Amino acid sequence: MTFQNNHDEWLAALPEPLTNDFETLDANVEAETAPHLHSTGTLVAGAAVAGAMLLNAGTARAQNSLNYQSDIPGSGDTKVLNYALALEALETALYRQALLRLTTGGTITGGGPNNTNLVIQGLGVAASEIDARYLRRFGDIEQGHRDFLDQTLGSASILRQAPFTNARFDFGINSLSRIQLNEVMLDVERTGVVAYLGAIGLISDRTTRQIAAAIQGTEARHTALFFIIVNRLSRGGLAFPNTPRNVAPVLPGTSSPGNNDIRRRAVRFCNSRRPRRNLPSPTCWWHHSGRGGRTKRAEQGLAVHQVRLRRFPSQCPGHSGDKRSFRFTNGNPFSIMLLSRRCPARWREPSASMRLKPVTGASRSWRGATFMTAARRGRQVCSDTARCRKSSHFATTPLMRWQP
Amino acid sequence: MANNYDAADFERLCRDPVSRRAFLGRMTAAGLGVAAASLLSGCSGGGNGNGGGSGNGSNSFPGIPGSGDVQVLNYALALEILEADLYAQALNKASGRPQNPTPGRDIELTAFNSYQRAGSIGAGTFPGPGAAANVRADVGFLYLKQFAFVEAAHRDFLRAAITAAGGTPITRAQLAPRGFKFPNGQNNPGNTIAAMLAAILPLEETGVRAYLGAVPSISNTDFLTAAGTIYSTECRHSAAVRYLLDENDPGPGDFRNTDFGGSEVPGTRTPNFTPPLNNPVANIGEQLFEKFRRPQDVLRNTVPSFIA
Repeated sequence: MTFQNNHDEWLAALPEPLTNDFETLDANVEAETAPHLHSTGTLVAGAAVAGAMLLNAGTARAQNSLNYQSDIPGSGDTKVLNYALALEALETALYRQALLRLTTGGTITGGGPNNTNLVIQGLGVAASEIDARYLRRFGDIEQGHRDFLDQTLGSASILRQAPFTNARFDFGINSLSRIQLNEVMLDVERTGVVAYLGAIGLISDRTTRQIAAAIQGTEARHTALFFIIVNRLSRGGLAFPNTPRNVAPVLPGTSSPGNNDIRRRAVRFCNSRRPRRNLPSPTCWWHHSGRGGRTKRAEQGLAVHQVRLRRFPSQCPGHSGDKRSFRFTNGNPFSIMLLSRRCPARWREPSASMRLKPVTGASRSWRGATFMTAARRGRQVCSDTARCRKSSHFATTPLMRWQP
Repeated sequence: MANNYDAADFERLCRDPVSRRAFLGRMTAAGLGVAAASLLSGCSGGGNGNGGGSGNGSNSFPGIPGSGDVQVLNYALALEILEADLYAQALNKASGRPQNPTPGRDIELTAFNSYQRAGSIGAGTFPGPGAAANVRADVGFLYLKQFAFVEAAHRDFLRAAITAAGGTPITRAQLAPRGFKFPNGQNNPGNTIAAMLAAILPLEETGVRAYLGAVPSISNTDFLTAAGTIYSTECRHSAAVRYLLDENDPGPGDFRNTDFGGSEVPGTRTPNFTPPLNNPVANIGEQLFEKFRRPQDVLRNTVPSFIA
């Protein structure tokens, strides 16, 4: 079978992380889970979401959600690492349950927060299958991350105090099919990546930052592999997918499933979430390589880049119905993590306070692409003031609004 | 966010026992003693190879213009210029176009969909287990053309970001006036997709390790996060390419098929921690953390092999 003349299909089937220019934070996660975020004052949307979701699903309900301020113990770097540790512990528990669900089934026993006495019905997938192999491998790796952080933090470890000492993780694992299981793992790994991405900037010690980044990189590798695995499985057992699946890229500005020219994609990435008001507001960059680039800056700080999202506003309302979205329709607790993709209001309304000035700078390397240089606070942002002011194409509100 | 450290902090900690003690004490108080100790043990082996290292530690980035964060960003830009160039060369070769039409200048990429794999480019032999070679080659070609644009985007982004930060982006003339080559002695990415992926892999792994090695040098947290977004994609690229070459080895450890195009990229593991697992995967300690290379090592030992 050859795919050489069928690149659109191929591209639609390519793993998302492989088609993105940059690691992205999924703004939709934030939008959908705003109540969670606001109520918890979370550190990083992604991981906070996962934490909140997973604990919400806990049968013992030791904790309904993780509140970064009040539930993550410690201060400074210890708090950030405890936050990472919470995520690693969740991942470890999930991997353990997922592997049992996928393969032989069994009862979760043993000490620690994973002690649910949960009876898992196995799907009977052979241990030699690719997803079973990687579930085992990555599960061990996440456990290694967990143990490392736990040992590093010692008595300050979140695992050694409430709510984790009594937490029970139940992910509704028995309701997940094989493909759903892998999709869940994919989401959790993606969450891990963006969680670390957001947390690293909060770590003040440089060497600790490096360690966190060293873990983040492995989560990124896991994410790439789960994309590949999901694509493989979704193609009915063939080695690689040839039909678009729900895991195909879903990026703002992607006009249609067939429009996969990377240069027309707008990819946004943000420096993620800050837990406290006294930290700099998140900065959001828009990156777009299409024609007629334009620069905007986010609310504060250094913002780089441009964007003209020609199709985005019209894309936006339909986003929730986009079949390429991730969705879990079986009603399990994960479904709200990525299910309802709403168009945030900030994508519809220009900011009254947006200050616009022409900018200079361009890239000569991409035909038709104009990269505008960025602007510092209060400086210039838009190369076409009138248009920018009127445009509904620009984000206007801060990416994240912190609820103190 | 207040940054209480300057760029030379880490190296100072490595050199200065007083600072090191203070650092360890501080970290232990914060419950981070293990991490701190393992890191510092990592730095003690390397020395820093430069006598002064005063002020901003600019000798950590030999040949890279700028100071402070701008220098770090220029370091990243240098790597992205290199990666984008060699990816474009491989993509051109794979699609039957002139491999390096504009030596010394950025290679212009045209419409994404216009690249087709050339009939003369075979699948080749993949070193490890996985799908059929022709399937892997089809995917591998798509990776090539996808990643070539991604690396170009990184390069362009960094140029814009450096300018925006008030710095001057490093130029190709400063870095490699005559352009770049594949370090296999043939200035050629190979004649099969498998060979091209193997030629590209060390580039990606270098990128991963270089970014991680530069993390402690970045002061501005916005830059840190921006670099993190790029670093993550390099990790994913590495994992994907390695998966194609050997589906059992997505990294981050050293690529085991060292007989296949010299894919080993030396790096240092940080921290050095091997967990007690009941059922450990092979080389579990190698799988837990990305490795890093210090910028001066990358610049002195790795980058020159790619310079034409």
